[in-house]
Amino acid sequence: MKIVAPIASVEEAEALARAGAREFYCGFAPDEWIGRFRAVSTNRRPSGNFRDRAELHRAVDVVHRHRGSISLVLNAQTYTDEQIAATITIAEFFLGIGGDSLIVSDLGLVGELFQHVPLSRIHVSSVATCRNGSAARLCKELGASRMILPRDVTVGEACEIATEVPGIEIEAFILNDGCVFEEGACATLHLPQSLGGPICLDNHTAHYRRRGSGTLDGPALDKLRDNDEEYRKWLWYRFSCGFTTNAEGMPFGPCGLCALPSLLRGGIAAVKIAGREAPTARKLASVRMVRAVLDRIEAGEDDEHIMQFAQALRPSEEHCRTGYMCYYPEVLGH
Amino acid sequence: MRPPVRTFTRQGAVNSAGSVKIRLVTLLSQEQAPPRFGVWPILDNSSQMLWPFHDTPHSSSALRCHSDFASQLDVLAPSTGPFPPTMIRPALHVPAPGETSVTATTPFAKNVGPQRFGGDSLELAVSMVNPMSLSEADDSATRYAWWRNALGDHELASWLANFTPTHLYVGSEFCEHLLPGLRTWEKAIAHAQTVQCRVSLLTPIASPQLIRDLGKLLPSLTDGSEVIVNDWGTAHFIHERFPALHLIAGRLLCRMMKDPRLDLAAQTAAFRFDPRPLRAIFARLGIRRMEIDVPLSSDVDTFFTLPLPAGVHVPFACVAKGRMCRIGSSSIRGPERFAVGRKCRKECLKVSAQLERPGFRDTRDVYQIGNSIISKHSATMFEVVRNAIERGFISRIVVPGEPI
Repeated sequence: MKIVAPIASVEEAEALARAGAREFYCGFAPDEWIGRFRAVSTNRRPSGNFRDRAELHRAVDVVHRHRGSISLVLNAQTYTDEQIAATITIAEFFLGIGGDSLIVSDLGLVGELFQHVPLSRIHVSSVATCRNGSAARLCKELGASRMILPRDVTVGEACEIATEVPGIEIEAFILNDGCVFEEGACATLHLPQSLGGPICLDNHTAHYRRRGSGTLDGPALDKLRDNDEEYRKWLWYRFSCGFTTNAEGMPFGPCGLCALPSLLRGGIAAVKIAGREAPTARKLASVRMVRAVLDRIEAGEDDEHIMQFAQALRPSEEHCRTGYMCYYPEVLGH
Repeated sequence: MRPPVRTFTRQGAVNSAGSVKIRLVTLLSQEQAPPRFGVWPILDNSSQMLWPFHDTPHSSSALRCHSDFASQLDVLAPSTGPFPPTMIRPALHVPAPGETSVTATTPFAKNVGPQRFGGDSLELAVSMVNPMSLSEADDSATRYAWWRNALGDHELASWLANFTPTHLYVGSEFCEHLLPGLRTWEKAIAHAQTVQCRVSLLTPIASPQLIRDLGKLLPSLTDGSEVIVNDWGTAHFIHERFPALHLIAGRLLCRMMKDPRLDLAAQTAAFRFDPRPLRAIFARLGIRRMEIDVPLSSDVDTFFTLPLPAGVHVPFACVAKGRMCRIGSSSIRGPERFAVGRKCRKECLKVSAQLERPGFRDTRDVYQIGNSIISKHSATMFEVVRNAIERGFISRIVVPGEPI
C-alpha cells in the first residue's frame, strides 16, 4: 500500500520522502495561468502550489532520486474550453520534466488529455465523485490507472469497489481535512473569513419549519436544536479539532488509521494524506503516523492492537471514542 | 418581439451512428466582439432532440433558427464516436448578412424541424419524491393555486400556470435513500397517467448499493423512459445494461460555481460556465439531454453554448450536496452519527430550514433540505431564463413540486 502525500516545495519532497512516502502529489499554478484565469481555477487551491517551473522540475528530480513518483493535480471541478487548452500545456510541461501522472477530476478532460498528451498514468480525482464499481469501470475504460475515492465512502464500499473492478487502483483518504459536503457536489468557494469562510463553516442560523403547512411543535424543535448542538461538535472534529496538533505536531482531525488493516485486506492500493496547503510539519507528522501503522500491519499485528496503537499515537483515545474524528467510524464497532 | 426565423437546408448522407453538431457563428456580433459560438442540436420532425442520433443514411433535412444567431453554419465532426471525423465534410455557403436562406450539400439529419420551445411547446417537468400529490389541473387558476402552494411565489406561480406539466420526475437527485422502490414506482406511473405526464426517474450520486437497487428497479422502466443521472457510474451502468433507456445528465454533473454569497461581479469575472468540454463524455455514454441550474453570472448567451438539449431548474439551485445528512442524523446516536450513508427516518421530507447569516446583507434566499443547501434564483436570473426560453434555447424547465 502506497502513502500518497502532498508537497508544495522541493524541501517538502525531500523531507517526506525520507519519512517514508513514495508517492507525492502537487499543484502547479504558473504566472501565465494566474494572469489569465486566476490561480484558484487550476486546482481549487489558491496557495500550496508550485509557481516556478524550475522548482517543480527539481521536486520531480528529488522524488525520483528517492524512487518515488509524483502526480500533478488538475482537479478544478470544471474547465472551460480555453482552460482545457492551457491545462494541456501544463500537463505537457509536467510530463516533459519527468512527472509521472496527472490527477484529473473532470472526466471530459481525461479524454482530451489522452488525445493530446503522451500519458502513461492518469488518476481520477476524488473531486470526480466516483464512488461505485460502475464509475471505476468507466474510469478504467477511459484509460485511468487509478480512481481516488471521495471521503464519503465506507470501508465496505471502498473494498467492494476494489474487488469488483480489478485492473484499476483504488485510493482512499487516510488523514487530515474533512469536507461536510461532497467535494464534487459543492459549488462554492472557501471565501475569506471576513466574508464567511467555507460555506459549511459559515455562521448560518437555521430557522426550521415544517414543509408544506403547519408549524413545528416544541419537542420537535428541541430535538432539532439538540441535533444542531451535536452537529457543531462534529464540525469541530471534522475541521481537524479546531486545526490542532499534539506537541510533536501530529494532527488531530479526520483520520482513518484504525481502518488501515481493513483497507489493506480489501485491496486498496494507496492511501491519501490530504492538505496541500498545510504546513510542512503537519505533512511530515502525517506521513510518519501512517508509516508507523502500516509497519505494524506488515509486521503481522492483529487489528485490535493496530487500533490501540493508532489511537495512542497522538494520543487521541478520547477523541476517537466519539467517532466524529473518523473517516470510517464503522471500524470502531468491530 | 420574437426574431424572424431563417431556414437553412442541407442535403446528403447522414452518418449511421454518432453525433453531428452545428456550429453557429453570430455575424451580428462580429463587428463589436469576437464571434460567439454555440452548438445547435439536430431535431427530427417531431421536434424531438436527436444527439447523438441514429438515422438512415442519405436523407435531407432543414434547420431553422433565428436570424440573429444563424448567419453562418458549419457542421462539426464529432470529437468522439464510432466513425471518423472525416466522414462529415461541410460544404459551406456563408450567407451574407440579411440573406434569409442557404442551401448546402452536407451530410445531415433528415426531417429537421424548428427548434422552438417557447410558449405552449415548452416542456414542464415537476420533480417530486412523492408524486401522489400532483393533481390534474386543466385550468390556469387551479394550476396557479397549486404552484403558489408549492413554491410560495406569486410571480413564478403565475408564469408556471401558463404551462401544463409534461413530465413527472420521481425520486431524488440528492439522496440515495429516496430512490423509489418498485411499488412506489408503479404507483408513480399510474399517477403520471392520470395527470397525463411522462414519468422520469431521478437518481443521485450512487453508492454500490444504489447501483444494485437500480439493477432491480430499472427493468420495470419501459423502453424510452428517461433517467436523470447525477453520477458517471450510474450513467455507465445504464448505458451498458439498459441501453433502451434515455439518459439525461443531471445538474450535479453539469458543474458551475453557485455560491450565493458571492458578489455577482466577482463571479462573472472569475467563473464562466462552459459545459462544452462535457461533449465527449456525454456522447460516449449516450446521454441525450442535459440539465443545469441557472449560472449565477448568466445571460441569455450562456444557454446558447449548451452542447445538448437542455432543461433548466427553477427556482432553486443546488449550492452544495453532502452524503452526510445533518437532519437525517437527528435520530442516530453513537459514533456513527453524522457518518455517511446511514439509514435515516427521512426527516427531510417533513422539515427544512431557512438559512440566515447574521451580519451579512445576503439577497438570495438559502435553505437546507436534507443533505443539501439550495438557493433561490434572483429575479434577474429568472428573467434570463424566461428570455432564453423565449429564444428557444431551453426546451424544458424543471420545478420542484413539493413545498420547500
